[in-house]
Amino acid sequence: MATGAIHMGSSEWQGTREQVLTGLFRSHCVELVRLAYCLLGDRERAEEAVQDVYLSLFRHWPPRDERSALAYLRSGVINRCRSDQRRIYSARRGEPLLKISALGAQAGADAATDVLARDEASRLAEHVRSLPRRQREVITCRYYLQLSERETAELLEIGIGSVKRHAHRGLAALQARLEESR
Amino acid sequence: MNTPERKVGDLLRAYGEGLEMTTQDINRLEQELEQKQAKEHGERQEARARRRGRIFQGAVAACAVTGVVLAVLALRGDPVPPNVPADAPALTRADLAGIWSYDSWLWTFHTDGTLTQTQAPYDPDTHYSGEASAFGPAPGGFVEHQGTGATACDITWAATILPEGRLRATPTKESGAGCEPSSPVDPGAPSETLEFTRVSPVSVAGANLALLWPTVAPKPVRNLASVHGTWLLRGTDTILSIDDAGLYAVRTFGALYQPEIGRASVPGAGSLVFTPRDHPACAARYETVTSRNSTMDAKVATGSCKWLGSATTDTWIRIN
Repeated sequence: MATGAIHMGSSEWQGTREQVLTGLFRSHCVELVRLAYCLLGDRERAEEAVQDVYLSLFRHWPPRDERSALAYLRSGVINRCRSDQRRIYSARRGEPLLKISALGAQAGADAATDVLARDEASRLAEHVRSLPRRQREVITCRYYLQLSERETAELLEIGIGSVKRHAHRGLAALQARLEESR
Repeated sequence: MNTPERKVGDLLRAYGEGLEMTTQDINRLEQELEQKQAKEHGERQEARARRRGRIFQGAVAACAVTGVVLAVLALRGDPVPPNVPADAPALTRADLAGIWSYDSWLWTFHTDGTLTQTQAPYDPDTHYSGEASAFGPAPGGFVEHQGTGATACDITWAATILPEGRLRATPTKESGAGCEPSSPVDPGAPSETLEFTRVSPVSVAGANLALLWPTVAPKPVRNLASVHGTWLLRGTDTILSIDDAGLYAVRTFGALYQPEIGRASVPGAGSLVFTPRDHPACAARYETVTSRNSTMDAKVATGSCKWLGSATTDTWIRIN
């Protein structure tokens, strides 16, 4: 999903912190904003979460290499989204915790079949967000980021057994909810 | 991957990729990020200037902390009540008093009824950073009072404290003009149970705290940015905070002494020096300091005047 990549040992990686951060931002921000969007259902908050995680990376500089930087960013976005939901709920101010996706409205000009497909995707994403925290994160890592069970376990710092269990339960719950909402 | 897995994957990716991200969007986000970086840098400079003018006020506040510490000792009875059922009694200020960790958040329940929630390192001048609210006992848990007037919102938490030092808290009710209507999309989320771990005063759960942050290969500490944050000395309730201006604080909730405050520096790769504000001639010096991001190992240097933890090698766990 990355739009580009910077390579270890390249002049970009060896450059200033700002230059490398810019490279990392351009390479991964689209993927990360979409990951946060899946978890939060709100574009503005997703963008803010991703920017905050890049700022955190800037403060905890340097990462070992681009791979560890990406792991840090993905993990940071998942943690930030989790905290964001908590913080927004706790603060009780501003926008609702999760807004109904505007995808349906955006798709006004699309063909009817496209609208139906988007509607189903939107409903599925809402169901994913209503899952318990671990199931939500495992489902997103396994089926949105397409990480293996081992990669998911490493990113979320849980055991592979837990990944299997949360994925199984999450999938079962999603299937049931999709059936109900038909 | 079986059929249901494929379907969920296809739909979830269709949802994520349905979010249009144009080149203009990326440029805008990058520009905003640069502005945030610049703002953060400016705030750091301002905070440094403010701190320089507050040495006297800091000393006054430290006296106030000593008073709070005495109050803690007066109020605390048995450390924690037994695991309690749904019709549990209210949790008192003394039950909740302490510093609790949840994800990257630190919630401090002060004995004066103030609750602070922060993701930032401890501020030596104000003695906390982040948002402050008030709390008090409520049937089956506690109530959090946020805001005043039009922004007031009381959140009632059903809560129990487990003997090993965990607090399980579930928000059950909100009332007040400032409360936000519940989301129609995610009715499960507001009732999600949060599990906090008491890191200070010491608890079994806090002493065995799992790593919260991503772990990378160990590397020698080269600058303050790599140690910026809040750290818990493994197996204890000693908390070390280092802000990005290099100010550090070592504290323990409810301790008899006031926090040690001073300046941290990295004189060379793998070296870390803590110079206390009150005794600048007696610094704690560490060598072969390595960070794995989630943890930091530090060996007391030969001839060091003092040390923050044990006299040999310490492991600190990052808590925010």
